[in-house]
Amino acid sequence: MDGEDLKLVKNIMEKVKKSGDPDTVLFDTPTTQIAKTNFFILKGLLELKGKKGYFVSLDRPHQNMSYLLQNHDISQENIWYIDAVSHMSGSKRIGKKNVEENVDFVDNTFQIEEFVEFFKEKGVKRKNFGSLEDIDFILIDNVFPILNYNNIEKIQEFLSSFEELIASHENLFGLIVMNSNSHDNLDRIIKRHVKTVIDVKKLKEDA
Amino acid sequence: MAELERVSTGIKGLDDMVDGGFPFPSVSLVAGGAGTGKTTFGLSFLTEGARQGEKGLFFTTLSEPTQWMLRYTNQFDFIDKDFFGDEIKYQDVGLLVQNEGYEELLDFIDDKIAEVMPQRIVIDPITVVGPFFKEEYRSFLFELINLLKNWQAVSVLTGEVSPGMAYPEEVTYAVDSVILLSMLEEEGSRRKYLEVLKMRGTDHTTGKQPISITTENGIVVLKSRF
Ligand SMILES: Nc1ncnc2c1ncn2[C@@H]1O[C@H](COP(=O)(O)OP(=O)(O)OP(=O)(O)O)[C@@H](O)[C@H]1O
Ligand SMILES: [Mg+2]
Repeated sequence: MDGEDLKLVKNIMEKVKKSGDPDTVLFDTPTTQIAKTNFFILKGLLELKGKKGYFVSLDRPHQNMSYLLQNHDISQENIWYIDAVSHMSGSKRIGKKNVEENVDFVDNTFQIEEFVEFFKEKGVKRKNFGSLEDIDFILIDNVFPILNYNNIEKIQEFLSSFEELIASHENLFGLIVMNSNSHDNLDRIIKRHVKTVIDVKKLKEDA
Repeated sequence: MAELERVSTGIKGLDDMVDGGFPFPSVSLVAGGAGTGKTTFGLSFLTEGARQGEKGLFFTTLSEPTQWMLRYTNQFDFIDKDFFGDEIKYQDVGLLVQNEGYEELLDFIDDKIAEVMPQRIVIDPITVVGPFFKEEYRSFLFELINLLKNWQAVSVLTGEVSPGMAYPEEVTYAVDSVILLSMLEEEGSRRKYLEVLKMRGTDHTTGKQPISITTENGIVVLKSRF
């Protein structure tokens, strides 16, 4: 990470704060920068702000993010992974990178409308981590890949219940990452369900 | 249907042949004989990314010191020297290939990618690894390609093709796309060609297309003579 990257992390955190009451935020970023944007958001939330939350992987196995945080000396005490892609990734190696046991593996990637129920459930393993009342954010790594597994109606259903969930928890931020140019229809639907849109590319230029 | 996102290849004329560029993320093989332009391809690809604000990571398996490689790249006007060291990182893994097992090499590559967080990755050439890892070569390739894809980057592996061989078979099956570079003896001179052998999810041009390599532009796909 260089000085420019750090400035971007700070700018992102600044924006999340300014958006006011806890709500749902869409981070709009070029597809090639999605992984990095997720990392920047987590660095800001976990390290700068000392927040606690869930990281939902729909795009790439959670081990990559876990590995990335570890590589950059960011503590993972306050992050819990909900991984919906590992079961499809087919790599033997990936298991070796499981640095901590802070993960739920989900295999109903094709039933996205059930996800919110899953966030609510106090998983057996999450007992020591806390439930929705104890956390500050739910970050979804990229919503675009859901289209590979679900039709737009199911996604819409998911987004509505996600929005409701966030609204009913005072403490909770819902954070979604996507390239809004990837899919016009999905973009339109998502923007109906989020309060704030942050243009990461523009923030980067300002950094 | 969700459309594949694409990134420009950085080779003039090639994007038009492949629906706009390499799918993101994906792993491609650029294979060819000696001096057909493999390294130049890899450098153009990273330079294009750097121009668009993407980080690049170049692994060489040849134990070639940085200054040698930079001496060659300095010959090309299209490569901005200032990119090297910052937007484009250069990493020699030659000694690891020669002295360590494939797990160690994968761990090293994984660590380096985590450190740099590149959007474009080149490994030049991947085929020298084969004789060192022998019967483990296929497993290594499978794990490497999985690793690269999970990092959400576009990767180009280059492959050496020895005379009499069509392409490096083991790699060809494992990657998403294959581009062949070749040189043919014609009317007393050698001409260079590029051919897209396969690219998943892409309606690509087939057949050998003539190319030129110039100081100003690197590799350029010429308009077909027919
Ligand atoms: N400055 C230049 N101007 C024009 N052509 C050049 C220039 N530099 C290199 N070339 C051409 O490009 C070829 C080398 O390209 P490159 O090194 O990319 O090939 P390669 O396939 O990587 O070779 P190797 O098998 O040695 O790894 C040269 O053989 C030459 O024909
Ligand atoms: Mg070369």
